[in-house]
This record gives sequence, structure tokens and C-alpha cells, in this order.
Amino acid sequence: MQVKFQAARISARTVLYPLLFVALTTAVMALVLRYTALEFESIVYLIPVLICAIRWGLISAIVGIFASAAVADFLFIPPFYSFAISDPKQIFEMALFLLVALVTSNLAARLKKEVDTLHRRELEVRNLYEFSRRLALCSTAGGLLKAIQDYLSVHLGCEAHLVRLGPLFAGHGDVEGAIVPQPIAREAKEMVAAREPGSRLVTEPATSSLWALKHITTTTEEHGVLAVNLGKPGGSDTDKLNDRIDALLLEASAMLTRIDAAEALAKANMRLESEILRTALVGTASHELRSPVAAILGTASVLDQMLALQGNEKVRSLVEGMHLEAKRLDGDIQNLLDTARITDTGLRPHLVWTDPADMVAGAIRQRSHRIAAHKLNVDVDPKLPLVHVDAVLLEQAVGQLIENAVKYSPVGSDITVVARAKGGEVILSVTDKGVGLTDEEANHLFRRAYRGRRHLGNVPGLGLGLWIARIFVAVNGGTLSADSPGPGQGTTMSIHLPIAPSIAPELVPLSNAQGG
Amino acid sequence: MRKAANKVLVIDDEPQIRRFVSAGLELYGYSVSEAESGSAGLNAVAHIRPDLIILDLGLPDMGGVEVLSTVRSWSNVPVIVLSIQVDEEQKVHLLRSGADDYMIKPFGIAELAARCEAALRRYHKAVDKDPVVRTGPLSIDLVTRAVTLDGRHITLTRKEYRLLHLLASHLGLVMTHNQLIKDIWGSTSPDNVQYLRTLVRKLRQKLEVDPSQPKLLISESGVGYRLERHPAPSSRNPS
Repeated sequence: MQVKFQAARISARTVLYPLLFVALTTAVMALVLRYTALEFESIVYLIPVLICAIRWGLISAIVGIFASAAVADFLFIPPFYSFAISDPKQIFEMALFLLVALVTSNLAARLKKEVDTLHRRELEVRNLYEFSRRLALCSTAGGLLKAIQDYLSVHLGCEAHLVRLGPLFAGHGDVEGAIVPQPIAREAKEMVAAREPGSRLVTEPATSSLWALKHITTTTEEHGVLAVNLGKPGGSDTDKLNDRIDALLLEASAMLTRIDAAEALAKANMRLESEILRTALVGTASHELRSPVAAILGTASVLDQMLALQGNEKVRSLVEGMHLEAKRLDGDIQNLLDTARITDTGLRPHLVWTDPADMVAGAIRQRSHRIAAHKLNVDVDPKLPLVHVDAVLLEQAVGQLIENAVKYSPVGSDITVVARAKGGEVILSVTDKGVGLTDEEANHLFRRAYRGRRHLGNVPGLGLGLWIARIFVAVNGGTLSADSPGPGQGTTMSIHLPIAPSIAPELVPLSNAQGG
Repeated sequence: MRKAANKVLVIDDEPQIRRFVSAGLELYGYSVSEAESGSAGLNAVAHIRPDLIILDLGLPDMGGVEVLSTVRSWSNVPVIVLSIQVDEEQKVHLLRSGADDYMIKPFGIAELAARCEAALRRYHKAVDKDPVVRTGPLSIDLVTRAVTLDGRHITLTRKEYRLLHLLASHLGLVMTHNQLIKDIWGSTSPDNVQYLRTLVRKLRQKLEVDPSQPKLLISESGVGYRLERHPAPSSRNPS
């Protein structure tokens, strides 16, 4: 089929040009022979034959060979003006000419083909190189798409469009069925929706042209489907085109992965930078706020003493109110500072053998002003094992749990702090009889800046306390959990700390301490 | 009970802090001078010869620790350090550099006055004739080693007494874990923290009404222990 196709295309030139060349050569020969004493040499006809072989291929050369043989025989070989040959030597020469001409023209034609292929390859390589260079210059997925489209249209003569824009191409594409025919776009969208890898070939009914749909995806991101118009279906040519597009896309996909990674990195960097800036700001602002609050609290304490001396209870209660509010403000500032510390520098827990009872007592002492209006019950097992933890962080964590219990339970209700050992853990828990937890609250409780919707309007807070507590517990190798039978039925928050193997602290001090 | 007009020097760059500390301490019968920078503070120490220094760590001209060590190079005057947020290592470092105690802002004037009194008592201990330390229901005779709680005699082991003695002789002031461990066990191996914890627990069981909510033997997380100063209940005080 291919041969027939080529023959049809080259017939006019291949026949006419050799005849013309042979005629020209004959005319020159005739002139030369008339005015000189030279004898006819059939080898002269190799010139037009080789030219034809090189310029227009083997068929053209064969036409030339037979035309020159016929003309030479008719005009220059005796008997003249007849196709007969009298001299046997002349017959032999003619046969030799035919043979040599056939062989050399065949070689020449083959050489021409090789050179042609070489030329085409070189062009292809140059195009591909150019394409790679353009790819390398692309810093966005949109630019990459443009490069692919340009290459396809300029070098392969196909129009190409991306269907269903991925996030990276946002703002670059124009597609969505406007240029891609409706049935093709529909098929492409199906592919994107099904996340179908690879490619499909679809014929458009209206123009009966063939479209190749190529899924463009990287390990990190999906970009959509590239629809390429391959034109009218044409057998192996179409296959070849399809293969070349695939090769092209393979090259582009490596680049796309790189761009994906670079863009993801840039985005992450930007997020990180803004986060650092924010926490630094929070840290500095909180530090600046803390001094005046300390002055207010100190001044309130002095006022309180003065009024106590004067026995002025009415004004004293006002001062007490001021003191409590300032104390709450200071607690919020402390939380902001802790947040900045966690996100900014990270925590370096200072692990020391610690009595859990000390942490509980410390936390209660820390929050004594807050807890005064509630009924506090403390139940600490006197035989708790020591734990290897950062006592300061955990004391603050327990303090946060107490703070939360106070905030979310009615004045005068019970708050119970329990410390006990169970199943290889020391458990410090704070139980209140307050608002309890909804399912949603239980799920989001320990997130940063989470506030239960029920309490947004009526309980002040930043939603940082439990998040901080969770992190303080976690850096000590423990876990924080919350249990509630439901809304309005109270909450128990528990810190679980693993009991680390120690050097039997119960035994050693006995021998040391009971000497005298 | 208090000596007349102990001189206190407050070194702090923030006027509003100086104002309330001055007003507050005057209520407690101190005579207060103020300095707003490290160099002015050092000058004042030389000229006024205060009985007690209250020193802020965050001074604009020089570090509080620098002021502290300069003062310490020629004087044993009690120093209480004020600071906004220092971590526990810094607290221990301050105590080792010669601070008698520290206060973290924000604080109430009553706490500060209690620390001042504790530091002054500790400083004048040498001339104090009374060898009995009293706090709340507890009394410790540092000479006869008799320990009583609500007038009842309490039997302590040698190490328990040693611990109580150390804390009582610094009544109201914090002592670091390492100070205590070094004095009681003679070494500062980290394992000894466990012994100290256990020793404190045993002592609390003998001295505290509710060992889980101690009122006398107070733990300062990450730093050390303090024997809290309480006014002696006059009705029960046998002396």
C-alpha cells in the first residue's frame, strides 16, 4: 500500500525528468561527435542516469537507463537510425552499460534515501532538542502546556488542547469544549473523572478526524487530559504520529513532576514563612503585654493590702475583681507565649525523676485563685511510682485541665483531681460536673484554636489551652484523653504517662534514709 | 517583730513596677530607694548600702546577672531577682550565681514581702539568738534537733532531719535539687533526684496534714524545694 502510494505521488517527475536529461545529453553528444574525431561512448549516459537516481530515486533512474539505451542504439550505434546492432562487440558494450547503469543507479538511489533519512532524523533531533530547551525554561505547568501545544502544531501539524484544568494550569487554559469538539471533550472529561491512565483514540463523527486523548499526570498531581487532533485516520502514519506524541509527553511528564515539586515547595515555604512571622509577632506582642499586666496585678495586690488595713471590704471586692480579670488576661498571654514557643523554637523537655503528686499539687497551687469558687477534691495515691518527665510542662498541662474544668462547670460544683497508677501508666485526671462534650467537640477538642460552638459567645478563651496541654503531654511521651457521657453530664480529662523502668526508688532511699 | 526600716533598693527600668513595689514594701515597713538602670543600681548599692536588693533581670544597660555578680564581688547583701518568664535552668543558674530567691512576674506584693523577710532573716541568722525555726504548726530546734508538730514530738530519720534542717535554715527560700542532694548525699548524680523525691515524700507524710496538698514542703517545679513560711498559730505555739 505504501509503495503504491509513493509511486502515484512521484510518477510525473520520475518519467519526465529522465527523458529530458537523456534528450539533453543526446543533443550534446551529437554536437560533440559532429565536430570532433571522438567515438561514441555509452558511458556518457551514466551522467543523466546517476543524476536521476540521486534526485528522484531508482524508478526515475531506470526510466533514464532504458531511454538512453534506446536513443544511443537508434542514433549512435551502427546501423544508424535503427534499433538493430550489427557489431557483436557493440551488443556486449550495450549490455555492460545496462548492467553498470542499473547497479550504480541502484546504489546512488539507496545513498540518496539514507541521506534523506539522515536529514529527517537530524531535523527531528533538532526539534526535540529545541522542545527540551523550551521545557527546561518552563517554570510553570501552564508554560509547559503551551510548549507542548506549540511543538505539536509547528512540527507535527496537530492542534492540541487540555481538557479539565488541573490546579496547576489554572488561568492558562481556555479549553472546556470551546475548541475541542463536544464529543471529544465529553470523552476526555470521562477519562479525567475515572482517573483512567494512558490514552484513548476517538473519532469525531462530524469531521471524521481522529483525536488522541492523553492523560497527563504526575505522582503528585493530576493535570487533565490532552486532546490532540491527529487529522484524518491514515494507517501507519497515524500510528507513528501517535508514538511521537507519546514520546513527547513522556519527556514532558518528567519536567512536570519537577515543576510540581518546585511549586509545592514554594507554596510550603511561603506558608512556613508567614507562620514564623505570625508566631514571632504573637511572641513579641505577648511579651510587651505582659509587663503592664504584671504592673496591674502588682498594683492590685498593693491596693488590696491597703484596703485590708483600712477594713474597706466594698472597694476590696472591686480590687479582687480587677485582680481576677488581669490574672485571666495574663493566663491568655501565657498561652500565646507557649504557642509561640511551641511553633517557633520547639520544646526541649528537661526530663527528671518527678513525683506525680508534686505536679498535681503544683498545678492546684498555680490555679488556686481560679478554683476558689468550686469544690475541689483531691485524691492522690500516696504510693505512686516516680515518672521521668519534664515536671514544669506537665504541671502546666494539669493546670490547663483544671482551668478548663473551672471554665466549663458551674460555680460551686465539684472538681475532682485524681492521680493513680494503672496498667503501666500513671494517670492524672481532672473531672468536672459541667457542660460535657458533644461528639463534635470530643473530636476537635485538642486542635489548635478550636472553640466549641456552644461556648463561643459566653465563655471567653482563645482555644489554645488544651492544644498546649496535649503538646506538653506528648513531648513527655504521654497521651491526653477526654471522656464525657454527653452534653451537660461533665467531662473527665486524663493525662496518661508511661511508667519508665527506674532504679527501684522505693528501696534505695530506705537504706539510705533510715540509718539513724 | 520586724526590725525598723530595713532599706530596700529596687532596680527595675519599668516605673510602674517600681511604683507598686515601693508602695507595697513601704506598707510592710521598709524604706525603699529606686534605681532605673544597672549602672545607677550599682551606684546606689555603693552609696545607700541597702539591706536588700530587688533586681530586675531585663535592664536596658546591662544584664541582671552581670549586676548580680558585680554586687556579689563585694557584698553578701540579699538579692531577690525579678523576671518575666525565665526557664527553670535560668532560675537554677540565678540561684547559683548568688541570688537568694526569684520572683516571676506577675506577682503579688504579699509574696514579695514574704520573700524579702525570708531573705533578710537568712542574712541576719548569724546574729539571731533564737535557734528555733517556726512555720505554721512546725518548729525545728536547730541546736537540739527537736522537731515538733502542733507541740507533738516527731521522730525523723537522719536524712529526713538533714533535709528539714537545710530547708529550715533557708526558711521561705527555695533550695535547688542539686544543693540539697549535694548536702545530703555528697554527690550530684542524677539518680539521686529519685532518692530526694522519695525522701521528700516520706518527710511530707510525717509533717503534712494532707501530703497530696502540701502546705509546708513546697515543690518548685524544675528548680527545688522550699519550706514555706507561715505565721505561727499563737494559741498552739508552746514557747
